[in-house]
Amino acid sequence: MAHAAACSLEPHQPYGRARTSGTTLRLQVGGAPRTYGELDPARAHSATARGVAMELFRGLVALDGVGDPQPDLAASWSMEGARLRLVLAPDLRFSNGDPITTTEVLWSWRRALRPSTGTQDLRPFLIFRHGEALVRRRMRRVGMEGATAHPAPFPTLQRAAVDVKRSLFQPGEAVVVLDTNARAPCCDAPVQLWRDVPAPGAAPEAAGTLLVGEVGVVVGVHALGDAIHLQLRAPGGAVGWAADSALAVHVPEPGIVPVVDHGGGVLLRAGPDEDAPVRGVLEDEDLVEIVETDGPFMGVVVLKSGARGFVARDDVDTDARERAWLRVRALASVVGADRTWDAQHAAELAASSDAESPHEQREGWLREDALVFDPALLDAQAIDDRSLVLHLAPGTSALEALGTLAAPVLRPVPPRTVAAHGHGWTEPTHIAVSGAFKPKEEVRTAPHDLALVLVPTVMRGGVERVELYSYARDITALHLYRVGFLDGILDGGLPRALIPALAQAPDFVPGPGGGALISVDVRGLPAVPLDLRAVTLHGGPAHRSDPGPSP
Amino acid sequence: MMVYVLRRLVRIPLVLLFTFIPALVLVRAAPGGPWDPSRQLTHEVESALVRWCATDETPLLQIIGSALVWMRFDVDGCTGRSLRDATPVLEAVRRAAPVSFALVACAIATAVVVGLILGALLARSRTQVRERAGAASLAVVEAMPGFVLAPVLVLAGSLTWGLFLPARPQSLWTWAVAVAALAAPFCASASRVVRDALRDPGAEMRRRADLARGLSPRRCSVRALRLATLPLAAHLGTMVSAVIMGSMAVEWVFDIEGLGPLVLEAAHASDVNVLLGGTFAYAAGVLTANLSVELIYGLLDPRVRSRR
Repeated sequence: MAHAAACSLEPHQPYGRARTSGTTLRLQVGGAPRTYGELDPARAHSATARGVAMELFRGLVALDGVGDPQPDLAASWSMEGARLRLVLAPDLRFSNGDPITTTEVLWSWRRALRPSTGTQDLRPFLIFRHGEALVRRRMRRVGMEGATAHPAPFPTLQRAAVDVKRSLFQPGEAVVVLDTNARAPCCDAPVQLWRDVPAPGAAPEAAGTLLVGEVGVVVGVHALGDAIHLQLRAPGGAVGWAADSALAVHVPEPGIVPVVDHGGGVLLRAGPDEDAPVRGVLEDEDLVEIVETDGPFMGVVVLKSGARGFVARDDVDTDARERAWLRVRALASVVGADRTWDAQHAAELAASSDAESPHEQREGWLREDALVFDPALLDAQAIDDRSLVLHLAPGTSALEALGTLAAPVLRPVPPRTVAAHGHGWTEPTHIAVSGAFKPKEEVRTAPHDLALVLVPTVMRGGVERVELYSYARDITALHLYRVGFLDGILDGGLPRALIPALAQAPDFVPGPGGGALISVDVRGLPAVPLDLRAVTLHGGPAHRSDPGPSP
Repeated sequence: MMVYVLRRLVRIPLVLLFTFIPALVLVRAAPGGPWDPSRQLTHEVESALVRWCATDETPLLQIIGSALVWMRFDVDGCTGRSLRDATPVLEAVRRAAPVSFALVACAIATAVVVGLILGALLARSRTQVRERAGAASLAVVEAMPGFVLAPVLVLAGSLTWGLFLPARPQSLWTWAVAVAALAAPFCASASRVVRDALRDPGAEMRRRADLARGLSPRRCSVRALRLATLPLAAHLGTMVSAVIMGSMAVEWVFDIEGLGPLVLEAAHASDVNVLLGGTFAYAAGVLTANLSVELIYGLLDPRVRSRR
């Protein structure tokens, strides 16, 4: 049917008929957010979800049609060596009236780095100095008590003994993780464990398997020629040998521990006090991220709900953290290459750090619970309420950095709203936006089709409502576009076999995913990504610059 | 009658069990199925299945065990999860089945009503031309399957003339078109049954007897029509199964989220567990529908009620 319709088009005849939706813009998008949680710019995982997040939240910069950065929240910027200085526009606010200052910007970035936030794409942080170490969770801070380095808790992996100085790491000192006592399958395939180190010509006896996603603890090491074999204890208890080349170093997620219900319930309190109000009750084995310690209490973020609060130290199972050992090196003295930290990154880190004594190696093994993951290690500082300075990674140009600042994960979010509602802060009743649209709650009769409804914060282009649909079958969307129900099918949503026929139609827009169909009555909508800034419906005026919510 | 109904209700699970076991045998033998040691599944699905698809049990025990779990409407760890994404099959079936059965119920109701009206009109044809034209029309429509009629309706009525939405019926009007596409051939067959019943020589004799007793012609017609519902009710038994099976194609064309697309997509992806769930749902639907038809017949024919 679709073939017949597409192939029978007259020259200059659009494929879609006249719109039937008035001031509502209806679009078929792939990967539309299915839950309100995906409206969080940090947690948006699909291109469409990121596009929606960018409609809800403004960034420091915006990218124009050719990809050049334009001022948005940041009114101006300047480059000072490897440092990028940005100045925010005055009187910026979220839709609930909360101000947008450098405090909110830095808070949002640090929040995105926390494991409990569940950020999907941390790559934009690579523009920052030490960004890669932070993204890979290999940069930690020594805990408040300080720590004495130990030799390896198991036979060293190095073929030659490492001259480890029993050095003291100062509280608050930044270190980089080089190795751990945990390994996981490296390459999406289970790793067979053998009872003995496989010898040439001998048929080894199987001792178990380390499945993808499992982590084994190293309990022994053996070098056989040029190959290194590790003895692992798998989670199921099986102990066996595997080749080091089939394994990857497993750096544990910092501070993630389960709670333990000893029978009285695990209470999440508003403060580090027995008398503090109770914010919620956690279930046994719920995972939390420890963000601070305060006497007998620990400040945590609940992974499931995003709620923040304090739990008693006794209610948290820290055994796993005590069993994990990390080999660390003080950040100021990172030199040379290491098997687990390749030469290029180590050299960049050493060159960019303020090394006082570049040839001094202070390293050793610390228990994981002696270290904390501190997102404040991100090399960005606020000068005042409107000025901030970013120290860029070596080789990062200003243009590249500015382009990356437009990424959803680097867009500021309202701290008070997030702190008050956890992961539920993006629900339509709670969310505070800084962009041109906000989500609207709808009772859906067909939950699998209508993915999201957006309404503009400021009336523009004749659009009073945007409905994003996500039909599972592309033919369905095509038929609905044909009859005028849908106003557009964005790039990647067309049946591939029909693209050559549809390409002749005036409402076809080429795109990297095959192309899009956009009604001739809709102007200013690109094929990809989702960008509603300049959209006008037939006869409506266009507003090129987004005024944002009024102060 | 109540005893009969209760006996049938007790038998339904047993019949379901014995119709389901051959399906499980096929799943057991299916290459790439959950019991195939060389199955190639994603890591997520594999880790969901590996604990449950124990291969140290005999095949017979595996099959019977799975069947009993299904009969409890529980999620069998081995055969009760989709081989594509490990989601419970029964959940998908629970979402899809009401939609399919609503479509089927509307189609059957339409077929019965239209069949009665059209059959009565055709039975009154007095000229040979009208009679032949009516018979030919019924034959053509009856021979036209839903998977032909539905796309024709969509192509002409929606994509060309824009009279209704081509998919995802959101209004009564588009839903009515989908129902019409499914019901059309059954309307024709029901009309034929009613027409033949009204044309039956016995029916004519009863009508004359009623007229002789002093009943009005209209009342006689109503009585005749009521008697014609008996063969129609008898015909419903085979019709229901055909409507249920035919709904798969109509749901696919109109993209209605029923059992049809669920099963067809599973077949395309070789997801035998979802196919099993669809089989379970269709079998349960057919058995329940047949029982309903028998009850309706019993309500219409007091002789049957007293015998039961």
